[in-house]
Amino acid sequence: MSQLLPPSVSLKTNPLLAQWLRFESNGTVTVFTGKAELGQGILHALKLMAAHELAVPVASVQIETANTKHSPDEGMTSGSLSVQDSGLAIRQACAHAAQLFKAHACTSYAELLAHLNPALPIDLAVPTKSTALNLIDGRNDLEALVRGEPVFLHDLGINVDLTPIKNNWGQININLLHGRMVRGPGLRCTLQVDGWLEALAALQEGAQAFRDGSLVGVLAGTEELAEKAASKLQRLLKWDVESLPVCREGGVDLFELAPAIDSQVFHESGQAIEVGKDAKVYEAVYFRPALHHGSMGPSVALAIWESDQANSGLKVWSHTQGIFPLRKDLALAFGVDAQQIEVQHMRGAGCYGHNGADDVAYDAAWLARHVPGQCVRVQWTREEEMQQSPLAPAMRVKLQATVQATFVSSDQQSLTDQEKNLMHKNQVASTRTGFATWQHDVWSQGHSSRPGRAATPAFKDSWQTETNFPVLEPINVAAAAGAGAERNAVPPYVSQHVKVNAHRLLGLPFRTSALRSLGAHANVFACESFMDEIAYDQGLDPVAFRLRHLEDLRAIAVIKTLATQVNWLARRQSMSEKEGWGLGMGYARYKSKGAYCAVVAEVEVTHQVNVRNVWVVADIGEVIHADGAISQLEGGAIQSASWALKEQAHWDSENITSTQWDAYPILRFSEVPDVQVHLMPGNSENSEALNSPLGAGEATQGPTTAAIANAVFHAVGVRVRQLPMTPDNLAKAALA
Amino acid sequence: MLQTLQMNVNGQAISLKVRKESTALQTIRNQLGLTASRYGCGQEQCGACHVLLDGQSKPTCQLPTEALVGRSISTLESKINSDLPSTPYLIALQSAFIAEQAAQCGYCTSGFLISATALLMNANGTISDLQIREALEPHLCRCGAHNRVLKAVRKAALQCGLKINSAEVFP
Repeated sequence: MSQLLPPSVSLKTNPLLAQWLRFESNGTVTVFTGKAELGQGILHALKLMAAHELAVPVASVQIETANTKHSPDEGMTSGSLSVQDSGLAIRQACAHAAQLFKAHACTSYAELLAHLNPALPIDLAVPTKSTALNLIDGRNDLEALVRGEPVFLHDLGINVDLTPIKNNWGQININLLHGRMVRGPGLRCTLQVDGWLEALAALQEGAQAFRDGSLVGVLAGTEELAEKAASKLQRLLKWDVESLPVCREGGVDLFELAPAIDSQVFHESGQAIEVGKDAKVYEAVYFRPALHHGSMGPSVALAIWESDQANSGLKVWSHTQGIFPLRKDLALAFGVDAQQIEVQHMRGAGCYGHNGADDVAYDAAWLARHVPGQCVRVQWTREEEMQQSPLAPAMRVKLQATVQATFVSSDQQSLTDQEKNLMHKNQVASTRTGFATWQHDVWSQGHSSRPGRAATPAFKDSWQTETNFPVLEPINVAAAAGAGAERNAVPPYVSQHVKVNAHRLLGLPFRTSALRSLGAHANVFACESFMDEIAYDQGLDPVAFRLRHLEDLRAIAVIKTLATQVNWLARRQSMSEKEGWGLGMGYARYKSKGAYCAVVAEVEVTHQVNVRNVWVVADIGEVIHADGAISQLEGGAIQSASWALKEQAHWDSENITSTQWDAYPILRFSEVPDVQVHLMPGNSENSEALNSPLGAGEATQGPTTAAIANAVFHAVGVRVRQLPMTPDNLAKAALA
Repeated sequence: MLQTLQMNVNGQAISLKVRKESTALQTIRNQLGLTASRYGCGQEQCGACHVLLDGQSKPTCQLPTEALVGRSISTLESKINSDLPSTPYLIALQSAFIAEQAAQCGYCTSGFLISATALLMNANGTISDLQIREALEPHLCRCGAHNRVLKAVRKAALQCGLKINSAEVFP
């Protein structure tokens, strides 16, 4: 069997075979990708796809880590798109290579080398191998990880030989210097420069300090000395500060405090109709506080400038999500040609969105510019990671819907007996209600402050320099790219009229940016809680209620499979015998066009919410590497549970104060639920053809939080509309 | 201010000159070049920097280097030393982590392995699922690999001849 793959965005920008594959003289194949290993195992998945398509052992394929010198430009590694973008491009390239291999009657890929024109475009008409890949080899990078080998950027320059730096421009005397930044509080602040000389004079021997406008940093031969010098300057320097708005519960008031709001109709479909007297109107407001990324390894970077010439080369080592966007903004920040800059990706700790990686790369490059030819390493502290990297914005969602009894949903006729059985008895027998209207309003700051998108640099520290680069207002990416705050705001349920209004808060002194699933987390939490509320009010089973308002067969299949797996009705009934236990469900199709995912959570509510079990069923189209996808879905569910139960950023009048784990608790081992994941077959519609593969990394974020909130309601009858579901918020909701 | 300190690292007696202000973690990583133990928070709140200190799993990010004097320190790199009592447990755990694919980014994995090694090597014939959870409680994981880690520790425990009591799972 073979199949024609859907076009990959990455192939359009990088159409040549040589941009993706290099055939080595020893018969192995090197694969190039612009996507970055963020701990999600993507390089392994890409390698498996290539080996499969080329029909060679996995060991004969190596993946070149992303580098701006030789990698295809694939923008960001974000949005659960790597399998669609890079994966499909690599498969197409490999399918073409495999065809050439045959055509030239090669016995080894080394022979293909001689036949290959470097300008040969990839033939998109060559079918790929197809049939669900479902490759089972485990990640072979785990061996180095469990051995504690120095594979992280955090180890570079310490345990890892700096030879690559030495070879970069020939004879360079490598002297690794450790850098630390010194900052005032808030989004932007102004250094009181009259104290500068005095502070400099107080520095100990062996440390140097540098200043550009209000940006200050130190360099020293050891981390200890650099830290000491930085804390000394921190004590001595004073700043004029822009105060932060009062923080109540992770930003619950920001919607009233924002200096400006940009309101837009994001989506409208169907006919606004007049509702009858029998219609019932529902309305509810939900809130998700500002969150931290909370990457376990604070960001780090290394940088070296070739010389003190204006057009000097710069090399940067970074665990960024996008080597090319980072390069673009470094070029803007330092006024050099992007071609002069090389960004080498190296693995960092798990990354779930826009963390401090790009910012610290700027810091390292800025400090290194003062010492050309010397390599500078900047390691952020935990406090810096929490304070300086962007927050995921606080979000408020208001939902309004009208349910009308006379309205016959178009999917009603198509129900099978099985579906009807799954439904609540009363419902099938008595009414045929449907949504006449559905309105979703979302308030949030923008969900992207990423580099590579504006005319001025996106690095927070670059805004402190004399050049006076403007503070960038966070944006929401376009609907076609999955949207930002509006992601998943369009309901999956049938309604005669649907309207989504997006209200972007402007001018708030917080840098907000992308965190795993962006707006989908709050929007799905709201939508799925709302569905649960309406189902309850109508006396209907929440699973059956969802099924009757869905038309997409894959969505229906995912929910029905989940209901069967958890034995939904019986298990839910059994909960009534256990005090404080409840079962809840949440569903979403990520980005409304990605992976389908339904989640059931089982909770035990004591003085707090304890999540005991989570079941996930997902349809991610063609399955490339089942265990990798399961691992992503499972990890996403646990992270979402942590957001739902515990997390909210906080700040005082000057600065973010949730800077340590005790001030920003996340889920620990004693609190982690058991998670079962089931993947639907790649041809879930029972057709011959496979559905395109879809990313799995972010699909569980929204449904899991919603499932937990719904389970809490089922357990104790308390509807928590404000996250996180802490004992405080639970008590507040109980009194509401 | 350099001072000379004596300690035992991964089974080897060493004497080294360190700065007074260095934390044990900085000395272990930057001076000894043993980078398996990682910096995560500097506040003893995440577990990434744990090492075996006289057979107990302890954080090193706030520990003064002086506190290592006269003590035995084992990091993940100790695996090559088969004389150490911890080594068979560490090796069993590492294979179980691979078998269960019990890591995503792997940044905090060293810490899990150190605490799990201490648990298994100090166990008295039987451990419980609850004890496994408790041993890992000082460790944070942001990727959500927890359940695979629990499974892997369980698997290694069985392989090391320990019995598992599953009566209680949650505290």
